[in-house]
Amino acid sequence: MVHLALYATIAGLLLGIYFALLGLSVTLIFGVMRIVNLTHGALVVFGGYMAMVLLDRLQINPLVGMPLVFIAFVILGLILYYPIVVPISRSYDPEFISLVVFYGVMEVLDSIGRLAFGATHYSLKREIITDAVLPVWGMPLPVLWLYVGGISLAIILLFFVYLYKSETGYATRAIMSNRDEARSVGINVERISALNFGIGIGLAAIPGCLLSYIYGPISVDSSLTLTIIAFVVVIIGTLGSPLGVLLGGLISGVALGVTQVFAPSFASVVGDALLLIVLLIRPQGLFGRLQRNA
Amino acid sequence: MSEVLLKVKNLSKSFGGLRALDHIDLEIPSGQVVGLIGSNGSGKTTLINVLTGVYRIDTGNIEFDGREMQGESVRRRTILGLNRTFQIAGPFKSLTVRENVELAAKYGRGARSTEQSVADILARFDLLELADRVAGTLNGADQRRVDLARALATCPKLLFVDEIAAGLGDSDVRRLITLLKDIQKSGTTLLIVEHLLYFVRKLVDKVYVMDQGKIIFEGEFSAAVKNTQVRSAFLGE
Amino acid sequence: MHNRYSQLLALVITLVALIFLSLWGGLNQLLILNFLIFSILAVGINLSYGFINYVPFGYAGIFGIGAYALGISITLMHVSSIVGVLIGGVAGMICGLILLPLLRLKGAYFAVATLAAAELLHKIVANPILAEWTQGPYGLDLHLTGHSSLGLYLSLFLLLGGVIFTVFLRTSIFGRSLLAAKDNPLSAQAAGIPVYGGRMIIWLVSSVIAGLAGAIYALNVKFFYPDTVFDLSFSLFPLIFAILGGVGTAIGPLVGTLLLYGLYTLIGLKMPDVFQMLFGFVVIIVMLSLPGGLVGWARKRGIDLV
Repeated sequence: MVHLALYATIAGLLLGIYFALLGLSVTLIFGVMRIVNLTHGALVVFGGYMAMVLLDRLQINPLVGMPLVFIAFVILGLILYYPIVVPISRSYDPEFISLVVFYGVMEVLDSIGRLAFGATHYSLKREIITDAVLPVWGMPLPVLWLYVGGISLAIILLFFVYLYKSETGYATRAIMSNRDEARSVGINVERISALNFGIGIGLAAIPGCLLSYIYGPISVDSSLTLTIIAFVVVIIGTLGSPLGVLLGGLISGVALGVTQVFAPSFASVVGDALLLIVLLIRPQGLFGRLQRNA
Repeated sequence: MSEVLLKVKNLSKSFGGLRALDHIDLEIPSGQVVGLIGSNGSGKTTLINVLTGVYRIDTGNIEFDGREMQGESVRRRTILGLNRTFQIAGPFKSLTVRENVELAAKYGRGARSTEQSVADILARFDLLELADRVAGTLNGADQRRVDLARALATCPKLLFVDEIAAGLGDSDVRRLITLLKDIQKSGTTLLIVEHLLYFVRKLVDKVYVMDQGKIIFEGEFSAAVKNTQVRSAFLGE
Repeated sequence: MHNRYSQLLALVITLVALIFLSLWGGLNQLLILNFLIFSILAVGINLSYGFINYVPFGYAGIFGIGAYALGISITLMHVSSIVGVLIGGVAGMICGLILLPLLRLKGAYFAVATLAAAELLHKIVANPILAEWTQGPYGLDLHLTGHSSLGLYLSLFLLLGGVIFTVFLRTSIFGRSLLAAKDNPLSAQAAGIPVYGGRMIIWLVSSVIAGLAGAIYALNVKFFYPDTVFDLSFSLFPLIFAILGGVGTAIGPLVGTLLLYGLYTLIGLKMPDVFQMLFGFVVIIVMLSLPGGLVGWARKRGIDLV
């Protein structure tokens, strides 16, 4: 029993690192532009679709394909930025308008996904990377999960290096803490925001390449659930806090892992339940400060 | 009816590490006009926010009209007769002037009835002409009058007037002074928070001076300007 | 005033015409029913968004609970259809009460929270553990036979009720107090307006409407799966219809539903994915260029609609 719990926890931690990776995009885009990206899950799935196409048509290993997916979606993000994001950030209520506009974009992406791939659930073959299994207290732990956890961790660390060690990252953090002040200090807020939006979109698609290895099939039907997971991760950790995302991811991952092992019929509601609980008990997240509400 | 309308004892409020209000003691006698002056950051606005219920206090005691107030909501205080003008928030910008006053007259009077109709209030504040204009389309000075009319429509016993003269021209300021004196005559007690000392001097019976969250002077205005502590706080002498 | 009354008259005439059309005009009854249901939902969401500024992405959750409340009360408790619908309304109110704590959250948080709540309700109802009551994922069959216009009458009745309530809000001082609270909650409290009480009342009315609508819908389709009635289209479409038409007005949701749902019946039934894409584009374009919807656009030209 204890072994089972430990196994669930380890699996959960690995899943949690992946979830943290999922959350990076949402927290970056919200932190910099105060935009609620409802298309997040759809982008993850599209990242998965792209990895799948690269594998099927060009025989490119998903791990190798990841940088390609990233670049492609950064470009997509930059293309979307000027006609859509700029008008939103200039509107009277960017948080709300972004919610609805991005819902619209989500519908567009969803329909494109359905037209192109239908509702079929796709999974990338595991053997391409490794089919090995590690016996952990007699229970099989797919080595692939360790790969996914490791790669996710690597990307997260790269992101932190970007955010905390690069000049652009420094400017980004300045914008995240106070947009107007950043502008008055001479930071080109518009250009940096555009860049971060692009990076954010790219960061949304990357986890899609690994999706079928650790979480579930690649299919537009999963988009909403993925969006909610990312939101849970980010809200637990405080919206706009990069460090919080890691913690939020681990907590969500372990919660899901443990639930899947001990109460599998409830596993599907863990994300939703967690989100509600956090929003009701501590909506500002673990690191946030509650603002007075009239 | 108590002689002292508002009694504040040992009021403190901190935001994180910052002590915004430091053991404030305050008394506002019924029927008077009391001034509250102090430089930016001295805590004046925080004090108003705390007294009207926007923020909760940390320690201390607020007694209004014989009643303990520190736990009451903004709305409850309005209904009990404690109101304020808003420096920033202002009137309902998407509604007309008339609607602004109507709502306050309907919802905010509590047990205090009056013969004053909405039209009377609009006339008193010189808003009849603007009555059907949407408040958001008016200029700053007019919007402030609408906000004042809104507050007065609730027939408050005590009204905090928060920096209402800021940025106004001379004639507007003089009109305001007359208006506020008139309001006092009809029975409303006033606390005027203000920067503009000319404005304060013309109106107040007594004045409190704040600096860095503390009250550093209480007394007549003429004595305040001679007080060394006040002078050093304001003028750095 | 004269303007208002003539508009109200036009509204009533249109609705009455709709009644005649649907019952005697020979139009496809299922189509009319769906149109009415979406109109009702648009009116309900309009109350929540237009008057108290809460966007319930999870409105479909309350709709679904209403449907299952009717379904369970008919299959297990053998009540009459009308009682079943009323039970649906009560279920809607209970949902609204349970979700009340979420009203503390602002804007986007509230929207996403209700989304999660709806998903949660959906999965709970669909869970095989509860199959004894809900028939779980196998679908609930009301075993109702025969053709009945009851559902149509009920939905018309509900729609009329919802519109009348909205008109009441638009013309009463209570309604104005809600708009004031939405405009400036702090000033509203300083005017004595019961901000929290008002929000609660409108939210609960909105929830009841969703519950009733779900029950009436279930009554009409007679057989449904959890996926059918908890489909997020029942939140998101009416929301967009209301926004396109113009939130905060009585006519707006109806105009929006007429236009967009009409578009759906022309294109969407044959090519759902294409419609979905078009719909998405409409949403994007409308939100970016016409955030006040069509009624807001009319208002800028001096036409004030009720």
